Formats: sequence, C-alpha cells, structure tokens
Amino acid sequence: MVGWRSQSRDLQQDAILADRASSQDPLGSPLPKMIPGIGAFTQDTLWCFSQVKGTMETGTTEADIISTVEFNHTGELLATGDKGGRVVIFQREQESKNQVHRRGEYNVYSTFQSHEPEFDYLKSLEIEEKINKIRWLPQQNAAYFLLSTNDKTVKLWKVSERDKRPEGYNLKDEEGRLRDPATITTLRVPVLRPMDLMVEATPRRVFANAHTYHINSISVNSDYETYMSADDLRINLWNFEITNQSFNIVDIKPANMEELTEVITAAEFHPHHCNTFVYSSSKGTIRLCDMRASALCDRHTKFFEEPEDPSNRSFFSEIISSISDVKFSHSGRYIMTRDYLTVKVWDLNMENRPIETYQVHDYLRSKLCSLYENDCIFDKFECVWNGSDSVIMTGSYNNFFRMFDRNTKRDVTLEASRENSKPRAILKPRKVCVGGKRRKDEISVDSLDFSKKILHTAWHPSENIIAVAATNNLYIFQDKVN
Amino acid sequence: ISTEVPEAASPEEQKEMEDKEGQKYFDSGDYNMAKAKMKNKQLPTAAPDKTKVTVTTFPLHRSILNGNYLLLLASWLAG
Repeated sequence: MVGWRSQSRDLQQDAILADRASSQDPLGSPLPKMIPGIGAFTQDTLWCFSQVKGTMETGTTEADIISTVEFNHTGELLATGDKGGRVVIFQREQESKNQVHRRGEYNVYSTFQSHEPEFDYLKSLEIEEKINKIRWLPQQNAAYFLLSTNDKTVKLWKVSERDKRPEGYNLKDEEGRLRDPATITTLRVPVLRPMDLMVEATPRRVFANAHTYHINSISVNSDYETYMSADDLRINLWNFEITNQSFNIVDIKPANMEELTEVITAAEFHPHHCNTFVYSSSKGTIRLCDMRASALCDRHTKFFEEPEDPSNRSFFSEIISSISDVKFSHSGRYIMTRDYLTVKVWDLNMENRPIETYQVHDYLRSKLCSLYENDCIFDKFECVWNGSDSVIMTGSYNNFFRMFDRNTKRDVTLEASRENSKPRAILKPRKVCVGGKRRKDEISVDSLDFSKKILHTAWHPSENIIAVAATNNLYIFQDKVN
Repeated sequence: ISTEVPEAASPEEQKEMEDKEGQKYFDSGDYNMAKAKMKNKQLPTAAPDKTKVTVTTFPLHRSILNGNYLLLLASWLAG
C-alpha cells in the first residue's frame, strides 16, 4: 500500500508510525529525547489533546467568542480576550514530583471585564468592547502586567496576588466597624496573617482618545518603557507612564480620503532593537521603519513586496494579498506574514521576495467567489512561531489548523474538536480532498464548515504547548510526554 | 365672504421650493405637505433596544478591500 502516499508527508503521520515502531523495539531502547523543535535530531512531534475551556453547548453567545490568545514571556500564564470585553487568564499549575507524566495544566487564575461597550455621541457610532489584542509585559516584580485593547482604547492591567491580610487594627474591629475610642485601652501593632489566595486585576493606565480608526495591533517595545498602537491609518507611540499624550510615528492618511487605497493591517516592534518596527498593509506589502531616522516614519527604511505571479491573477488577487498578521521571529532575523491563502517568511535582508511560502489551504483558490459572497474572504487569520523559530502555525476553516516545519519542509493539518478531546489522545492528521475520489478519512472541500474558523492561536515560548481558539472554546495541546 | 385661495407659485418661488430631485411644487402649501410626509417616513419606530447591542463600526479595512475590488469589477464591466 505504498502507492497512495501523497507527496507532502505528514509530520504527525510519520511520528505516529515511528512511535509504534519503537514501542515494538525488542531491546526496549527509549525514543530520543524530545528537544522541542531544535536541531536535526528532532523526533517528529506528536501532538496530544490536553485541555479544552469553554462551554460545550452548540448555541454560542456572541460575547463568548474568543478574539485573542497570548502566552506571557515565561509561558506560565495564558490570557484570552473575548467579544464581550472580558479577559480570562489561565495559570499553569506547578508540576508535581509524583505526576511526572502529567504536564502542568492551565487553570483559571483571574477573570475581569477589561472593556465595556461605549457610544461615541459625536459620530453616532457604537464602540465594540471586543478585545482585539492582548500583549504581556515582561515580568519585573511579583505582579503581572498586560495591555489589552479594543477598537479605540488601550488599557494597562495589573494582576497581582494577595495572600496576606493585616489583622489587629486599633481603631477598627475585625469586621471593619469603627470602634468607640473610649473602649480602647491598649495599643497593638497590626500583624499580617495568611489568607486564602486572592488574585486582583486593577486597571493601572487607560490610553484613550488617540485613534480615529480601529486599533488592530499593539506591540510592547524591547525597552519596556514604550509601546505602539496601530489603527488603519496611523501608528502611535506611547510611554507607559503617560496617558494623555502619544507620539504619532506613522500616518498614511491622504489629504483627500478618496485617494485612499491602502490601510495598515498589523504592526510589531523588533524583539531586540527598540528603534525598529514593521507594519503590513492591505496591499500585501511590509514596511520596516527606523525611529532614529525621523520623528515621523512615513518613509520606510525597507520595503518588502513580492512581485505578483501573473498566472495567479484574478479579481480577488488584491483582496487575498492583504496581510492579516505580521510577526517577528524570536531571533529578530525574519518576519512572517499571513495573507488569505499563504504564510510567508521573509528575511529582513531581502526585500524583493519572501524566502519561504507555505500554502495554508490552496484548495480555496477556486472558491474565492463564494468566499467573497459569504464574507469569509475578509477573515483575518493570525500566525505564530514556535520558541525556536523552526515551526510556524496558523489556522484555517473547519476548526483545522496547520503547522509547517521550516527545516524538514513537512506540514500537518490538525483539528480542534470535541471528538478528539480525550485526555492525552493523540491528534490524528486531517486531510482535505480536492476532487475526485474522497478517501475514507478525508473531508471534501465542499463539506468544510466555514463558520468554524481558527483565527487565533498561540505557542508557548519554550515548550511544545499550543493554545488554539475555536470560536468560544480554547483548546490546549501538548506534545506527547514519553 | 372671502376665503383665502392660495395663489399659484411664481416661477421664482417654484425654483426656491425645488428639492434635490427637481420636484416642482404648486405652492408653499404643497411644499409643506410634501415635507411633512417625508418627515413622517423618517420617524424612528421605537427607542433603540438596549438589550440588543447593534454595532455600527467603521470597517475601513473592509471598505478599502471591497472598494478596490468593486473598482476593478466596474472597470472590467465597462471595458
């Protein structure tokens, strides 16, 4: 049964076969140690279900739809934002010595309402409370800080623990009622006593009224003092301490709005160089800017654009070339962009074309007309790097998500579904059948559920743990612990 | 007994009363009746339902992509 093997080999499929083979090894030699994504000796990763958060009911409240997912810099915390303006933070439990084979699970740590719906009276417009992005600040003390933003306002939240409470006040009794001073005959010093752990989230800064258009990105600078917020036409630079002012560093609004043909779709600071950032556009281009060159970075330092492939030209070429996400690699050497059908990796030193292009769901190329009619062509998918920049991941439809190994050039399609949700169940690779005979395990393009889209995913900074948002459910997958 | 009969509007007056569509009115009474009818049509049906939040956002990104596509389509259809 060799003939049926397709050309692109599944990472997961090979890993499963290798796993079975080695488990039958009579000498019982263990599998090579799994070093997540690093080097030539990587055992192909087997992805397993770990947890799912969210209700199982089929009728989803719109407010519960997850709109952003982000691990913090250590991977200890995982934050999600939803359409109802809420932020839920999960914390990884400490790995216990007696449960070696069970990796730390993520449990709810804090939940708070970050943004409320607002009404702009001047323009008669409702301002959605949906959290567009969450970005963590690196931890500098016992408290955790994150930025969360909706279309108009960025907020800095402090999440801190309280596990002690003062007891033995002189002027108040234990319930907090004031005591009659006449009854106080002795003085005592209040002492701190342990109490049940309480996690508090407090808004420390509100950065408002700086964006006319909808904020699509926020990015914390590597100087940890500033951050930027980008909307469709402008990018502003903020200092964390100052809320009533921001610097405008990019402005692409034309004098005559009728001449507008291109908008900013995403922006990010370089991970190490605090003067460098990139922003992507709806025309499929990326501009790299250096803030040392001038105060207003309208003139780019580098301009990344791939020449159009004339054979692929269609009416929808421009729409599908719009970049929905841009991410620097952890190394800072590469940027990854996501457009409707592909993920591309660019070398910062080469502007005229990407160094790698991966097809996410090219079978949709012939369906663009119907995808335009049902608005799916405007869906904004995100993309993420793994900790070592060797594997990239992005979402698709039918609750499928795709991973591409940059070194082996192999890819895999996995599914986030309740059916595969048994603890430590290995995820089976999925395949979409383009035409002709559909094999038993395959799904045909016409059977794909376009309402089940995976737009937001996150990868743990150093381990093979991924978080995948499927509408109102958050799935956490881990690699198999041997 | 004399009753007030509105005089027909002079051409100058008619020009003043012409609205955007170039609709001509017989006299000021006719004009006011027509305006009142239009106003009635625009009366809001009910106070906005607070429980159902309808969001009217300004999706510039979408409108740009759509706009570029429709321009392309229009130019293709034209020539």
